Amino acid sequence: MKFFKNKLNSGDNISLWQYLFLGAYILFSLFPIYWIIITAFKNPSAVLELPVNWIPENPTIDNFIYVFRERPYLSYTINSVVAALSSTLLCVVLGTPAAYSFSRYDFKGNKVMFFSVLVSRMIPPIALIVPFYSMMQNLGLIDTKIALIITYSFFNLPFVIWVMKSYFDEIPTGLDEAARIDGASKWQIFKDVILPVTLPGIAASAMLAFIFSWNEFVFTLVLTLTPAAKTLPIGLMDFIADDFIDWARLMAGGALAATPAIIFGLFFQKYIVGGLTKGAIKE
Amino acid sequence: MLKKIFDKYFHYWMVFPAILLLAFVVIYPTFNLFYTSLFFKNGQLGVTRFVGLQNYKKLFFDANFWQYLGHTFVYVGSAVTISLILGLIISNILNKSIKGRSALRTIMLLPWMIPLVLTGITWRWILQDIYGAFNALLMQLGIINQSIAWLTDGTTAMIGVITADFWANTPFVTIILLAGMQSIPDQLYEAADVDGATGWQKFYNITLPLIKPSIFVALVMRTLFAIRALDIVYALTGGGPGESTEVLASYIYNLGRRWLRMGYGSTIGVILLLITIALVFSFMFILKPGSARE
Repeated sequence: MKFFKNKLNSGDNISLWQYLFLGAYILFSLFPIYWIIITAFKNPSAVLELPVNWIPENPTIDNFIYVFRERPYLSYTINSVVAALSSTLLCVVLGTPAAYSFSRYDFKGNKVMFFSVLVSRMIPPIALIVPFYSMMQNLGLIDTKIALIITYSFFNLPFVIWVMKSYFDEIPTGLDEAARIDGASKWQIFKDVILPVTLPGIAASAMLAFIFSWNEFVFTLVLTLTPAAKTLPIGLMDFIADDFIDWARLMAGGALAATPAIIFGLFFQKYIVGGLTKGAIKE
Repeated sequence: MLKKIFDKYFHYWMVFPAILLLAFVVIYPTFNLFYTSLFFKNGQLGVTRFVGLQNYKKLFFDANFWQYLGHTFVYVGSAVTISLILGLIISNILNKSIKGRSALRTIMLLPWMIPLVLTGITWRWILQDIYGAFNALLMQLGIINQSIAWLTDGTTAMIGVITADFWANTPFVTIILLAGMQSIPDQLYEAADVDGATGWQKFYNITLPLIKPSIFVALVMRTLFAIRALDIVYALTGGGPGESTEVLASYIYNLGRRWLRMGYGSTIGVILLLITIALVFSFMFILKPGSARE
């Protein structure tokens, strides 16, 4: 399914004020990102010069070298990658079969279980920080990546199940029927017939699960203490805790933390938008 | 034999691992939250004592709670309203014949995809009084002639938090509403054109009623995420100046994690969960999202 037709829908052309409004909005959207980037490439002392230079005079990559050499950003980056990738893998591997079952089989408890998956998305993670902290403390997992990987499935698993179910719902059951008549087992129908058709859906939900994990803040803040498990978004707060905030280097760290967003946004926008609309609209 | 059993209970095998993990990360912590809220549990004192509903009683006399609840409503109410209105305007523009729609969508999505804590930090840097971008812009445009300390005043700090929030989250609303608009059949607009309807009439009489389900989804999701958001407040103001941007989310964090008042922190957590559920149900009651769905 195409999410955005390229033909015009409401049949109108854009009026001048609408162009202006859109232009102003785009400027408003992009300006903070531009501000991150120019600050990241400025010399730390050049940041504290007036008037503000809107185009860095002597752009430098020293800030990036600094955060890797003098600050534990290498660990933060590795932790972010490991935690986000593992949680995504875990939730896609467990969530996709469950979503298929919810979509295709009318078994006892189907409705109740799927409904509770939906309801769980209403629970605010911030409300659960005490239970999660106690739980991970009892398991001896405070300040470990394993705690993060497990915890991220709190939001990723319901999300993957929800999105994947709507992808499966769109595939005609005639496809399952035809394979069954050919003598395929239930597992084979799922693995060899339906799964290959839903690969775009898996890609979309995996990318979003990755972004959600990468950007996660509350649980990670509560469950990590040291560079052994802290991720990039949490690492950024190190600078804020300093007496004097070193903006140039902080923004270099910020640019690192924003990298996946920029890559996914620029190259896989179609999947992101697709997964997002599927995850939200279908109820 | 084994294969037969596997095939017979296939649907259960498929959901079992996922449900097991969910039981561990969703069901258990949620029950634990309600259970802990009945205790006086202080990690600093190392005391855990059953107190029944005492924590809930304490809530009524906790001036901080009521103040932060007020801040939460101001923050969530403004941020959600502004992002819905902006999203409606932008999606309506993007739904028209426009060149480079795909590129525009990419640019527009970026703020939503970067980590919210970076959003908070970036706006803190933009609003910084001496070297920040906002004061510099205003001064170069001649609007002000000396820098203003936006984040040391309670009102402007709250406006800063709200701005950072709708900056980051309007793209989500736009995408959801745009998807709703694109599913409206072209014939409706063509028929309206034949009747000589103006652009505004078409928007008000066709687009708006038909995207009601999308508006409902955007409203619910935005509210759910704004009410639980700690990232922006934590990074942008840290609750300050004074306590003027403390919200329920930051109160729970301070109680539960910083001051280790875990029992009372859980009680506020329960309240936040109940407020969330109450809001979702009242949106359902007011908007009746099913009514426009055909």
